[in-house]
Amino acid sequence: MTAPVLTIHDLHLSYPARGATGTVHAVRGVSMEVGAGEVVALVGESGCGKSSLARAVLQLRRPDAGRIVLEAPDGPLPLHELTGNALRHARRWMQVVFQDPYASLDPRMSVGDAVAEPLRAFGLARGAESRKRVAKLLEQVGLGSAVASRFPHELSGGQRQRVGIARALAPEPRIVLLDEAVSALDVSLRAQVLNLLLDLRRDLDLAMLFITHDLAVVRAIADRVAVMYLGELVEVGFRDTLLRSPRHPYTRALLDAVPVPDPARQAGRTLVALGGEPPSQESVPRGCGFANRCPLAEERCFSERPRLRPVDGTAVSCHLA
Amino acid sequence: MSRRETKPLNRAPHRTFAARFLVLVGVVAVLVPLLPLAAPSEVRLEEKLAPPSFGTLWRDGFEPDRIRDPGPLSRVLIDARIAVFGDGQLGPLLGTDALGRCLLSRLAWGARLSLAVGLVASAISLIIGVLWGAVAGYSGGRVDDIMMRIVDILYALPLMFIVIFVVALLRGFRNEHPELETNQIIVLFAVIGATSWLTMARIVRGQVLSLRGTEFMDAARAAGSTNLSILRRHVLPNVTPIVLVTLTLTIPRVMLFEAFLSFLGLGVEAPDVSWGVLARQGFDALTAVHVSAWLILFPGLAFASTLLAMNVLGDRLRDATDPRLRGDRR
Repeated sequence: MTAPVLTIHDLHLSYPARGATGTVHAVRGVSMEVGAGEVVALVGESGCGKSSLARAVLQLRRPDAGRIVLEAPDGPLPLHELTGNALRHARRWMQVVFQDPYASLDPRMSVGDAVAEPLRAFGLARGAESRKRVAKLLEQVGLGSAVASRFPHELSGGQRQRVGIARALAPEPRIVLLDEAVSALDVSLRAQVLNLLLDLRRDLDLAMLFITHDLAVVRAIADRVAVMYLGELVEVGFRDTLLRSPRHPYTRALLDAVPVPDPARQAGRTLVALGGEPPSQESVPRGCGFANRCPLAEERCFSERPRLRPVDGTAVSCHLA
Repeated sequence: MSRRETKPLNRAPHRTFAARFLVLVGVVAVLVPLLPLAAPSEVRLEEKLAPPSFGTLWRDGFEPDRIRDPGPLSRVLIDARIAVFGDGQLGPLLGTDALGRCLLSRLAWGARLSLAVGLVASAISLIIGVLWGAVAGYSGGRVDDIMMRIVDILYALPLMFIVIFVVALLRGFRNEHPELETNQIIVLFAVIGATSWLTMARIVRGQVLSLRGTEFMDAARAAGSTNLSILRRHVLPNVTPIVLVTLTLTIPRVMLFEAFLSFLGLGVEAPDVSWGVLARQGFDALTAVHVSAWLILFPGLAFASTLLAMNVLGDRLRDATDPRLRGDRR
């Protein structure tokens, strides 16, 4: 791995629980790195804290604890310490593409203005120069510069998502966070957008943290994969290793849940089906978060919290791996 | 603009009519001095309480000096009027009041003041209400709590009482310092405006609060926009439609309030004329022996039809800005 662009260390984020006095622990001590030009996929089921992690990393929601360091051209930026204007300018180097292409564009702002927004906000370009760069960005994502004068409701979901990507690329960031950026798209569009992202990564040496629950997407795009469960990373490793020989029982169950497009092989598979539900994030268990659903769980799994440790080149958080 | 977009309007002729009527009232209000009308305070005691008649269509005797301190615009218009019509003027077609003043002329001049009060006070409430609501909704948390509690408290106060109190205070102040020439109309503008922004603030705050949860606001922040530019570029444009609709409801409400105050003798003072003042004078002219119905009828009619037209137009504006009614066009 090359030098990390983004380093997350022991990140914690919690919300006050709705109505009650409790606290929802959405992210519990996540540490990870994303190297320059690397694509890291963050996978996990709904509600496991993937999006909360993204929000905390972007400082859209202040984390409770933890360090987030972004490597900018003129030195490392400790995002968790920055406030006000310093934080605003630091955002230039880390952009985001949101999940919902309908909700993430202002319905009353033209596409051109939306893409130009980061250029203007970071003071990178204005006037004719800005229009030229917007046109180029729109071409780059395969939309054509004529789209600039349109409004979001005139575009399809796929086109909107491309606008979101063009906008994220506008300030020439070092890393882009993609929060379920292709989940809302239908399959053909998804392939288009993924190819586009791979092209951009090759051309711009762009690092990506790709949040998804779709393992097909992971296969298509990721260098490394991080599996998240109940606010923690349970397994982190290179894509092929992790997908071929998952170490953590949860990763195994996750992979088993994907049907194989071959009836004969699908019938012959021994599947580890998961029973039950993840524990409430308001009362996180003392031991392993997965123990109550784990087919292999032993007594120690319920009392002792496992830590990420290296096993054959993969990091796994399981006593039994 | 597609053809489909104009069609629903044609299917609602009363809306077109309402719009034209309002334009007419507006034009008359602005251009009164240009019209060949008697000065609104030209007293002809020998003609007092004359009923509406077309007996005298035209006559001489315009007295420009009877128009109390006209502004620069009015002065120009009066000069133009003298150049065109000389000292000719229309007769009292709608009758006269207890001092023999021409009701038609007074209605036209009254429109001026009534509309001005409605517009200026609404503008004040627009500025305060939108800013207050936007800041409260956007800041959220404690700032929101404090700002909205202030609104709640003001809502709970009896505004009528406060206005009466302020106007009474002002009268006392004027009696002590006649040299300052404080204008009660200005105070009226300020008082009504300052008390009518509460609804606007609440509506804007609710809208902003719901906007704050949308993803595009996070996206704007991630794109490096400052709070100020998010307010200007994302919040305000998305709040505008509902503000416009609220405004069309505020203007008639404020006009009604002005008329009410003037009717009570707390608003516009003679010799200035507003529709509320006219209604008051019509009411005063009612006696057991002599009923001058026109003095109540015409000001009432003018006021009622203006308010009705505004409400119809407000409806239309609401329809036009509601995406469910606008459909998926463009």
